[in-house]
Amino acid sequence: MMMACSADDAQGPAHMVFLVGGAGNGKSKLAAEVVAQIPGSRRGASSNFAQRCYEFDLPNGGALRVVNDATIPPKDKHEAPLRRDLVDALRNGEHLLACINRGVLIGEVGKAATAGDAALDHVAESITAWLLDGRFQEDEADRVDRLTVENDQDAAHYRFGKITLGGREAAIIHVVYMDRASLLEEWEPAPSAESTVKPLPLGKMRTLALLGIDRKEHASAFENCITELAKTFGGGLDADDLDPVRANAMALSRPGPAKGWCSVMRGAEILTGTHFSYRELWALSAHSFVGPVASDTFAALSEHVRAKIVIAQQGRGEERLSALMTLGALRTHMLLFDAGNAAAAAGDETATSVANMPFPWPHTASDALRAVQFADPLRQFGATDGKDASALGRRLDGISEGQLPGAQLAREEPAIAEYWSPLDATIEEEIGLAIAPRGDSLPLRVRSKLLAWYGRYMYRLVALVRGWPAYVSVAHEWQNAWEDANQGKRLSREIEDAVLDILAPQDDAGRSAYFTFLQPRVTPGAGSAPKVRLELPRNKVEISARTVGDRIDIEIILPSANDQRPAAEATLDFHFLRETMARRDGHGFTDSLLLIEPRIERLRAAMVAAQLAAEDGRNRFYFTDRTFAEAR
Amino acid sequence: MSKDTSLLGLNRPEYPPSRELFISGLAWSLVSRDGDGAKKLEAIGKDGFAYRELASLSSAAGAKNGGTTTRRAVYRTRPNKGTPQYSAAMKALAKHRNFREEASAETALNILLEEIEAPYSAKSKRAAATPLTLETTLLQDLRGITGKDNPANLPLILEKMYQLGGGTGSVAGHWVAAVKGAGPAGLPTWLTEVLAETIPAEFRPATADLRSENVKPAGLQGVRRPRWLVEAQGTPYQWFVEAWDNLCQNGWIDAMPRRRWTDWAACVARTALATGYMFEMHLYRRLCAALVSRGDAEVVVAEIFDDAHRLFSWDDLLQRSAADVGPTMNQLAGAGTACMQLLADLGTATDKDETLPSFPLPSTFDDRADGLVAWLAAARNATARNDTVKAKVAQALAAPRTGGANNTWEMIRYSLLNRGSDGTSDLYGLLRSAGRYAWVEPGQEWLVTVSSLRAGAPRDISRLTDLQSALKALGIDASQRTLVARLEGYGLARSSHDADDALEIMPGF
Repeated sequence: MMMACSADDAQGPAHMVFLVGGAGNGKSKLAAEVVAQIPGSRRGASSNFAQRCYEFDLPNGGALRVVNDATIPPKDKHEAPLRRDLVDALRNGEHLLACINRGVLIGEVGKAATAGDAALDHVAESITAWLLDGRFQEDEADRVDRLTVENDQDAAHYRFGKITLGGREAAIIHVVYMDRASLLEEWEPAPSAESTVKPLPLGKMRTLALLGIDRKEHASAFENCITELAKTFGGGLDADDLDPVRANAMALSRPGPAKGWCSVMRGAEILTGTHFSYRELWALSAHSFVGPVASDTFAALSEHVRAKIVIAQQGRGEERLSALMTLGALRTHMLLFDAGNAAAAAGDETATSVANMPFPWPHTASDALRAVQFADPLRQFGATDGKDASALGRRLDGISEGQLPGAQLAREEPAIAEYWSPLDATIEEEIGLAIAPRGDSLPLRVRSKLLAWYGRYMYRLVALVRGWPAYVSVAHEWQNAWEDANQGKRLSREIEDAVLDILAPQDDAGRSAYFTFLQPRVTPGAGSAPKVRLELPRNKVEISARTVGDRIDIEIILPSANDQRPAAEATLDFHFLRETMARRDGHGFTDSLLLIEPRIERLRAAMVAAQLAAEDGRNRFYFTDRTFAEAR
Repeated sequence: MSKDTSLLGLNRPEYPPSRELFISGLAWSLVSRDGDGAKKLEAIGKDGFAYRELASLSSAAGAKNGGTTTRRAVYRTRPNKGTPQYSAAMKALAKHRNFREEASAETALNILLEEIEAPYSAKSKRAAATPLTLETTLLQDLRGITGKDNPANLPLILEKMYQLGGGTGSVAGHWVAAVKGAGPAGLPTWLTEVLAETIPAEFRPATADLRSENVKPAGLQGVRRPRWLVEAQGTPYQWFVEAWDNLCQNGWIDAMPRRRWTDWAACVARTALATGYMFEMHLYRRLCAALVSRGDAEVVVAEIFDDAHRLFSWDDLLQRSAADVGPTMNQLAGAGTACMQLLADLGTATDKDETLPSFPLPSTFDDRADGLVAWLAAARNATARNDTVKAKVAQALAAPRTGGANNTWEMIRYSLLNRGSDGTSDLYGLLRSAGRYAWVEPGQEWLVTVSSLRAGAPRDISRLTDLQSALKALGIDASQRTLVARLEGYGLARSSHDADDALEIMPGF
């Protein structure tokens, strides 16, 4: 857009750039940066309030229309204002930069035509429908005014098209979907664009597996953001060794913990099949420093921290310990998973028995926070085989023997050292003293709860710094699968076999897979029931995978199928992969099975339908009864 | 012939004991009632057709009640060994599946005949067959399964609702066309051919009727299509037309096993019937009340249509007592039926008194886009000097559920209720009940069916906004978080980055 607006003359086609995506994905910021670089003068009077649309006169005689926020309704309450903007821009040959979310597009598609210019409105409607789905049907070749789309780039986040008016190339369209990739992965940068009238060269999407070597060596897109934020925020705080908020800021301003934080967030995205927007990542960053406080409760938190620090410095025994633990509950690795979480607070018996009542967080819920809480490493720490959890558990047992396992870990692992604060060290020492055998030993029940709290504290701390969300092995495997699929490779043989095992389990004899098709559900069915079942030739079933943005779609292909399309398609998400890995590793099944069962059943039904169609005369059917079993 | 005093021209309903009867009824509506073929059918099935007599159950019920069971001449269509159709089906099976021993072929046929028998409830007297093919659809009819001489004409009601939604063609015609044009993906060709042999010879003319071109159901002459309703957006009738046409015309039949497609068809039919009557009852209630109110007729009618989108609320987080839709169903059926009767009475009474303006018949406004507004204005005018109307309206609005209202209530409740039996779940129910509460909690396949049929064709996506508009049309006000959670749980939701209405929904197939 900057190149087009800075051109010597305004003779060429107009350029339209659409930034499409949900709120908080950086559309307006990007648009503002573009506008700041454009040598134009704004039409009309400025206002203190954000406006829907801004218009600029360009030095070359052209004009730029910026739809800054398509959700702001126009003054005349027009029913399809975006389409009107498009019509106006097309009619006047203006460049257009528009920030749009899909809700606006849904509202505009199918609305009655704008009065006055039916041909241009038809083009505008084609554009909005195309923007919404990213799919375009070429069915109007005979129209003089039309949209054509070039699909020569297989990228989920970018589209390119052209508008022809009266047989003349009138406008070039670039569409960027701002929410089709994770902000927590680093892309290979795109080559510079040489021409604006051709599809832009794109950067290559990639994913760095959470447990991979590359992740340690490459910073993710957001890492620098959080370290800078932490430096700025922490710089304004008073120096106090026992201040958890300051400790949080100091820790996240360092590369190791920042990288771990980003990895845990990325894991949360994978586990819940979502992406965090910039807005959500900023909110999670703030949450990691101070929890879910708003400006009106910030003073109360500050007072709470100050009071506890005084007790921790001047108090003794249980009183001091409880103040330290209350402060510990404000460390990032505790805030992220507990703060504002009513269920977690209700389950924290330690709060009333050992420590004072923690800070009364407001109950806070958002999709992003729920995703992070789902990634709580306490659900599963480290690799699926449990070795990491056992190893850390053994080390932490050392506290019962007078050791300081946390401090020891901090000496061994630089990233933990970057995170480990004087507060953490003091808490560990105090807990060590409290549980040490002596004359006035703690009651066993209190001692157990104290150790449980220490365990939670340390498991989360280590996991956060190492960048291990819950089920990190599954998330890592998912990233590997995405990378394979993105490069056009097949999934690993073990994963393919396990997927097949879930979709088409072999019968008891281990020969083949059979499915009912006359019942409400397509199931393998019991061999003794009076049923006729279709044989699905397992050895002929192929599984392929492809990526669509940050999604892995698997396709089930029956080579005999006479349809060009795969027999069935499904998204390989965390739950599907987790179940697959459990089968692969011989762990039976997981609670994810419940979540994937409905779609597995539908996949089987689609496979059965495809198989019935493909080999109508040559299929084999298995007739069974209590005393009868024949395959025909 | 009596005057049509109704708003929409719908017959009074009766809920059928078997879901298979929706489709079978539609198929039978296409069969000629004249000629030798009809006489032969009448001769063997004087009291109708049923797939199988559940003798032990019916006699046990009779004994329990201390009464006697009248033996009706219901023809049992499940072929028994020794009948020509049994032999023909066995031969066809042996030929197609290469069974060399007769015993094996016989056992295999019995397995098939067992499998196509539809599930039945504990109180059923007769079982139906799953209407997978043109032939098996005819293996039962309304009289045979209900045991009544004149059961409510469900297929005609469905056809009328289809017309009220602006449908083109007929419900039955689209279903038959879909089955006739289907490939082997849903049902293997050999099985279609074997099942075709299972019907007795007397049924051949009936199947020929179904296979003939341009087949049309009986009784559609004069069916009403009020313009003010046909052109309205978001009615259950309009949803029915869109869902049925989509199901029958856009390749769904070849995208899934036929059994599943048949279940989807029954799901659409039962949902349309229940919500269609809910809408009708809602109209009667609110229009009756509007007779004695002073609000602008146009505004009142707009509000009635808008409120029809919120007859039921659905939020999984609500307590059962708060989510209970039982009182709504009672009120719709009870007051709605009483209001319907009141409007009919008003029409009759004013006709006889020439000093009063004639109470308008709704059907005379059918050709106007503002017909309902105009009718309301005329009705208000006709009753303006009738001092007793206000009291009668108040009485009707407070009427309990009695008499004919029970049939409407049963149709609504049991069409929508999860009616699983013997430990099996009804996957296509909309409501669940426990104790005195009934609340919206769709069976998994209900939501899959309704959301999938918002997509243009198999594998096309739809969006949350499409599903929400369908639910609104059905009178369900669904919480967005509940919908999203359900869709995610069923593996149908995709890409929620933009949240809100843009959430993509994958179809079931």
